[in-house]
Amino acid sequence: MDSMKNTMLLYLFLIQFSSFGQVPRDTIIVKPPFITFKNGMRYPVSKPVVICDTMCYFTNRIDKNVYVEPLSKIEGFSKKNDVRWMTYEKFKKIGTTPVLGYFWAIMTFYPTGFGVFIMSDITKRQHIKKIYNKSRNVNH
Amino acid sequence: MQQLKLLFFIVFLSNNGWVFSQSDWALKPYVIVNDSLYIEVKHPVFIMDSTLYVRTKDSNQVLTFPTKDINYISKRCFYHRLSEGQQNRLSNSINTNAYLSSCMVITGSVFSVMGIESLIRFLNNPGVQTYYGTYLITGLTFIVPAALLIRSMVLKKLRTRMILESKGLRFS
Repeated sequence: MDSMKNTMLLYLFLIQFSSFGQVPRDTIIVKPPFITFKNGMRYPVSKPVVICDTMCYFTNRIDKNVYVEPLSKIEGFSKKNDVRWMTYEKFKKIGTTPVLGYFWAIMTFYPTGFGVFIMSDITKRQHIKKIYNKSRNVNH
Repeated sequence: MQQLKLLFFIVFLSNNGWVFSQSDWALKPYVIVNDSLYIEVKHPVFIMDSTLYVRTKDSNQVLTFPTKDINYISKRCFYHRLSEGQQNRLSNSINTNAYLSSCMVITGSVFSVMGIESLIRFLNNPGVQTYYGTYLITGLTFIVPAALLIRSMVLKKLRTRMILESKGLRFS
């Protein structure tokens, strides 16, 4: 009985150990949305991605940091990306003004479901605001 | 008098083809650049910050030209000059508007179907009842603004994509 228990524990250990196996870097599949750089690297990003003048502002989906990269380095975007082109004035306006509409989002949540869509728009605006505020501390 | 009207109408119809063939409307949308380049384009065609943005029909590429180099934009391009406010609105989210427009389309369709049904009923029995067309008008009142809203959303998406592609970015 004990030997069976030991064998089971050994198997469990081996299964657990194998799950920590190393994956070669070139086989990592980055799921959309992502940004492809000209050097071939793909960065998973959160929606939306802001393009303003000659710079691209995005949040890395893994480390949650905001990055600012020149457009000359970027090759393209994946399908599920929500890329927003805007003037710097608009970007600054979103970044500096308070995000409104939570009241109406909650009020219209039920029964029509209208609030879900308002909330979705507000969340994206809030995200752009966060990108603006964090990008001011990022070295280009 | 009636015969004269009919005559004028026939003359108009017979000349319509000739007038049409002479005008711009017979040709597919195109632009002429620097008096030499003739480019067939797709919609939308727009001008932003003194730059014309077009998507070629053959290669589906986005081309930009300074407006001073443009000689002619055909009528079927329906080109639009984007103001500063319209530029700023390009980045707005469309979720709420999409939901609103889809609700309006559904409501409008229901009213329109009811209106068409009552119209058919009236046409089958013209003397029995009167037809006011209230349902049909209500349906169209919902559908027409919704269609315009959807059109503006689609244009917004296409224009944003063209601006990004003109900067050398690729969508896969």
